[in-house]
Amino acid sequence: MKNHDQELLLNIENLHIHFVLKKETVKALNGVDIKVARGKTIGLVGETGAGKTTTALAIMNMIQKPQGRIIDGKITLDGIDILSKNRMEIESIRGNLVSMIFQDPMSSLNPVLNVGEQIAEGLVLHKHMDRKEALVEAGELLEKIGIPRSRACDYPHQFSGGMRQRVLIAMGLACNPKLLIADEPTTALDVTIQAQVLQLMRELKANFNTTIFMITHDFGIVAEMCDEVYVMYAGTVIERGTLTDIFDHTRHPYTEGLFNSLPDIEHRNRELIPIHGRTVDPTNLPAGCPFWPRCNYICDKCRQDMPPEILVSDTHGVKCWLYENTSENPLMRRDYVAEENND
Amino acid sequence: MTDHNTILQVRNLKKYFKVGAGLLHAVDDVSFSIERGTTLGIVGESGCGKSTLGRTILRLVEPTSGDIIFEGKNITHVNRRAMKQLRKEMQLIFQDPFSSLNPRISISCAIDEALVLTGRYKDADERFAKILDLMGSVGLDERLANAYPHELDGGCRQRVGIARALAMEPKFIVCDEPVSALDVSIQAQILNILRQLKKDHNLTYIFITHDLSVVNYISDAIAVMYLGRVIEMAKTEELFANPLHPYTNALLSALPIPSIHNRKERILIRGEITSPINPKPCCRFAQRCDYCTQECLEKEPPLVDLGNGHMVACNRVGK
Repeated sequence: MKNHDQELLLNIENLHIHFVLKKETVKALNGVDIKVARGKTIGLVGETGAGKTTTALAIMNMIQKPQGRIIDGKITLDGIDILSKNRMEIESIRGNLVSMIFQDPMSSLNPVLNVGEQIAEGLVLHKHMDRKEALVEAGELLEKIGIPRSRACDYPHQFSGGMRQRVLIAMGLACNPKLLIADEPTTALDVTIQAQVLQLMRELKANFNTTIFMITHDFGIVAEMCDEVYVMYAGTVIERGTLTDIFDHTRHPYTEGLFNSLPDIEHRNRELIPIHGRTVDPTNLPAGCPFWPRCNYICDKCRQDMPPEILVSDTHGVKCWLYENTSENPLMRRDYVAEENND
Repeated sequence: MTDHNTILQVRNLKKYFKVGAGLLHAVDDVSFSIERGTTLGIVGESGCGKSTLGRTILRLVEPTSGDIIFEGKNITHVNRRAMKQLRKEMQLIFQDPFSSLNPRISISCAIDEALVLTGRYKDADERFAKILDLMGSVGLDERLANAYPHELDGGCRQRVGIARALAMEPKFIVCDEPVSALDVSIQAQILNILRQLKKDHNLTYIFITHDLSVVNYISDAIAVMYLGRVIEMAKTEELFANPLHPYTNALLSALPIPSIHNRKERILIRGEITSPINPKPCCRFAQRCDYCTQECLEKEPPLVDLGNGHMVACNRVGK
């Protein structure tokens, strides 16, 4: 047991976060459980409003009060109970233990400071270096991410989108954190630049042995980067498992719907089968399973009770009543069906 | 010159913008033609000129030179009034469903605006029946007729955009990244609607996107753009099976495939897109190309047809 705990870098248990506004309450997270082992890359997948970013912000203890309220749950990062820490304590954890790369490289850099200063800032704050040392270190970090040291004195507007995202990665890695949260790090970038940034992240992971918590909506990136996948819908993890579990043994109707919605580049004549309806309104969640209004496999129980996580294998958990009494897989994923018919 | 089946032909189209540092070559000598009832996908990365091309064809941006021939008629220099008539036949669907609708008018009014312009309907009742008909054909619930844009999510707004374009009963629609702002489950809904509408109304699309898997699904032929130039053009199957330009190759291999089988080896291209301002007379991809030779730095390769409709602009090809 002890050993298992040591392997586990991050443990999120039953996390509930609501944002209480004047007129309504946004139920952003409704019972999230995520376990991240050291050295792994975890993919958190879901559509807009699924609660991916809220989960990431909670790990950084950056949920804005008073609207943001942690109703229930616990986050343990490297043995530290994150949510119980006060502001001073959490500041020593951020940067050193965990850091985050944000989605939009255009707006997450300070436009009036040169990038060297911005990278050095974290080093001064968390590693207690003096400014000169920190600037030298910042130059070295820039070299590591493929930007010449001489550009440390340049300002963010002098860099392209891909370069800015590299700078953000350098800032994230500056203090060599154990956990790096990457929130849609390549969404704003072109595919060829995305490929460069993903390659860089893979190399850095190999060199620094950082654990990466990757938020994305792109199953292509997950397939390429991650070891394990968590699929979120309406503030809860509805399916989790290894890459093989999720990609080849899809169990949840929502995950199936996502795969069926993706154009298949190898079989361009395969019809897309969209999920009908639209994503749930987090201020007005349906009773029972949040996905039932869009689901093709509903039964009476789905409308009444939220299914618990059912383990269909050691590594593969799914929240769906379909698997309550059986381990058979009733789903009809487009490509599975096509392969059976030898399409 | 143009046969009956060709709905649109573009010849040597150029659009240069004057900027402080010189001339920005947004669209540089682009030629192609589209057959009625087909979809031409235009792919490229940000700044390659794909949106400008779409807008220039509709003359929302005035071309610097070249010809646009729509339905056998050269429309490059027709006046505003004639263009207004022509726009009934050529429409545009915008990328951003959040900023392309007037926030102060309801959905039915937004569609009504377009219907009034057609002049085909005699009174409001007739138009309202048409509005409901249009809303039905793009999958919008009737009860949303009086809703305002802020009440709708991205997918529904994009449907309104499509309904407005359809209101004119066009023959030809330029879709400028219509699904890039949407979640995958919604994106699939919109793509299927666009496909269905094309079938029902025998529409012709130019589909502008940066997403190769989307363009593969929706297009019959694809033109790949790089820095204002079309560098490769072919039927969709041909392009994906047999990409010839090093840039197309790199684009295809950079695409993350949502499958854990048959993982390909990546071709990473170095560097980033160069400036489109006053480009040198050399191959525009030369600086990032692994196969770059002295010839590439001296001579800009023309777009050459390899015989089967597969065109490519690369000095390597054909040797």
